[in-house]
Amino acid sequence: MNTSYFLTLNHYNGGAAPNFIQDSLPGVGVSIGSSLSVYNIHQFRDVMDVDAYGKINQKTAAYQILVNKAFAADEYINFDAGEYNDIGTTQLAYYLEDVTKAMLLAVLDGDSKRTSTVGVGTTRAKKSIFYNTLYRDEFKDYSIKPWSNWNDSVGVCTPTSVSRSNNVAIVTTTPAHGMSTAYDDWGIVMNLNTGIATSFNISTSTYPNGVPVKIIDANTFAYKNTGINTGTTSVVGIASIQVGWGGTSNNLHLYFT
Amino acid sequence: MSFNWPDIPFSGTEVDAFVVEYKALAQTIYDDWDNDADLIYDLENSPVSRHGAVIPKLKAPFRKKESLKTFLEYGLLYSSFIVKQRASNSGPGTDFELGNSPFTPPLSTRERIKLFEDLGCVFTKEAMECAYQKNNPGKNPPPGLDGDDIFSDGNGGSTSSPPGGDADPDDIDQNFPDEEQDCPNKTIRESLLITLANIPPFSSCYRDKKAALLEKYLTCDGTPFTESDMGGKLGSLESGVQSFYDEAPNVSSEGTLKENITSELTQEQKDRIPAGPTDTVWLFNFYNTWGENRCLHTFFGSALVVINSSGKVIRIKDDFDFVYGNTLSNRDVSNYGNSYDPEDVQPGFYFGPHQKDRDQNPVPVGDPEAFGSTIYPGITEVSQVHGTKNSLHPTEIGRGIVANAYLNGNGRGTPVPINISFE
Repeated sequence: MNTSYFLTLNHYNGGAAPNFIQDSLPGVGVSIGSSLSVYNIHQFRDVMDVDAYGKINQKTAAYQILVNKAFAADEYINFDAGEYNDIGTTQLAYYLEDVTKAMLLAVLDGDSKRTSTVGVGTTRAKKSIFYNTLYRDEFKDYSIKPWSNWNDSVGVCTPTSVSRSNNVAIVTTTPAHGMSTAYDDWGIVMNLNTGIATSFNISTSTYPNGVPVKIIDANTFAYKNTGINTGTTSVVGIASIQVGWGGTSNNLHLYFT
Repeated sequence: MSFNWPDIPFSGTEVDAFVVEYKALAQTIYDDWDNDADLIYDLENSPVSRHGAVIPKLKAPFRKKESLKTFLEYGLLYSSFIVKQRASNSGPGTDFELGNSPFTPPLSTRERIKLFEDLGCVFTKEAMECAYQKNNPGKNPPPGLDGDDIFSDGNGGSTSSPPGGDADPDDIDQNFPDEEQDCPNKTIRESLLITLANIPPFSSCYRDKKAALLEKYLTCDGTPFTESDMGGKLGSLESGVQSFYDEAPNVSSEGTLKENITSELTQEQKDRIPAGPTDTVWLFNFYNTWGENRCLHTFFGSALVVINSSGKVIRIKDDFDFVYGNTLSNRDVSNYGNSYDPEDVQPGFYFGPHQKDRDQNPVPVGDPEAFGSTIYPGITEVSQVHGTKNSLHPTEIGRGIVANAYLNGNGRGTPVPINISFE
């Protein structure tokens, strides 16, 4: 297997550019000074969702099958370099993340969020959850985990004003949003009603379990939201509070001196 | 087959129970793979014919038993770490300190270098200079630590500008250009090769002209290279092409050397070249001993040539582009050597899925010259370009420079149309 693949399997998102909100906020990320700090090196790339990545070499399975019919190659991924179905380290990290999530869902109790307790159930039931996480859309069983309860809301809060700067939205709520800083796995589905405020909304078709947030204080949080810079604007609406992968934290940083 | 499980460098009531259950479930998934067909395939709707393929329920990356086994092995450590964190009990695996990583930090030296390189920290002179110039387009180089400027003038002294440059260090406008350059300056290595190619005896065999073309390509100057750029070597070139026409056979054991395509062209295409009513239009392939003996094989490769009614070569046209750099693929043959729309520039097919011929040269997927059925992924390193290993061979050096400009220079390089008239 390629050395780079071993590195990927050993270190997950070693590219140090995971796609979530902490990257864009001060105090977290990569810094180079008298020493090098690499944060978020052990972290799911998608900290809110469970949907598995289904492509090989950025191509769909249907495309793969088409090519394979023409060239009689193996349909499946190949860990060795030099063949068409050889995969890149990024995709390898995606696949590993998906299987890891599937096992956590299959083994842990309840919705598998924040718990460390092994669940009860038959081996067959656990295997069904494992495979259900990795199924193509048309074969997903929405009556069992993860699709039966993963996107459930855990509460709501009421945004009263929003602003946006450098594609980071800041939301103020009244009363307090209620998200504890003891956890780092909060997400949000914004649903504001009118005018420019709607540009702050989150599409549940794209982000079924919302987008991750960074808690600023008891009444304020931030999330990544592409759009024009916008001054503080009063809004009317509601925000659904979600929970993604985590507990106290899944994250760990490496620090080289 | 049993799994090759990693050691879990932490323990606790919760994580220990999780590890046991994880391993048991993984083993069952693996052992029962063949008996769990109803979980893995849509048997109900799959064709019953033995020629029909069963319909997989799983997404493509997870359909192979052995792949899944590898993912399950590597997934144990991180998922155990998550459970350990959630359990919030004391001991290794908690507290977010160096050394608590489940993935054996610190990295080995080799892994650390790889990680640094992935972060963009490539400690070679070329990479550092490239990064500086990319981040400071048009600016003068920084002063060296000893007070001298970084770029030496080659005589033991120093200059405030790169070799060949005439930058005025006090020119504020130059140091702070109005707009960002898409195509940064040449690297020192590129400048050295181009300079060397202009010095006899290295300049023989049109190497000085090929270097001029390479310079236009590397500096993204897509204006046509014409007869005026040939200087005193225009007559020699004309003689070489003329003798190729006069003496080389149309077809030899090396393949097709010349082909008259006049009858295949529409009037619109002839006008575009241009070719008069009594002229003939040919495709010449110089990749053979006939071309090599005239120093034309790496100048043109293959080219469009116009012959007048007297049998005299009057024009030669080609595009100076690369399958391992940027290219003008899918150009109508009558457009060879003509100006082009920048949107027509595409990465060479070496950077996408491709096949190889018997000599290991890359060919597009499905090309008749392709040898075997293997499809190779796009290259990511210069060393993967066929014919770049010989660091003493000018052509191989140039090949490496072009590939490097693309792979490590943010796709740098612009094809150059060649349109040389002998009239």
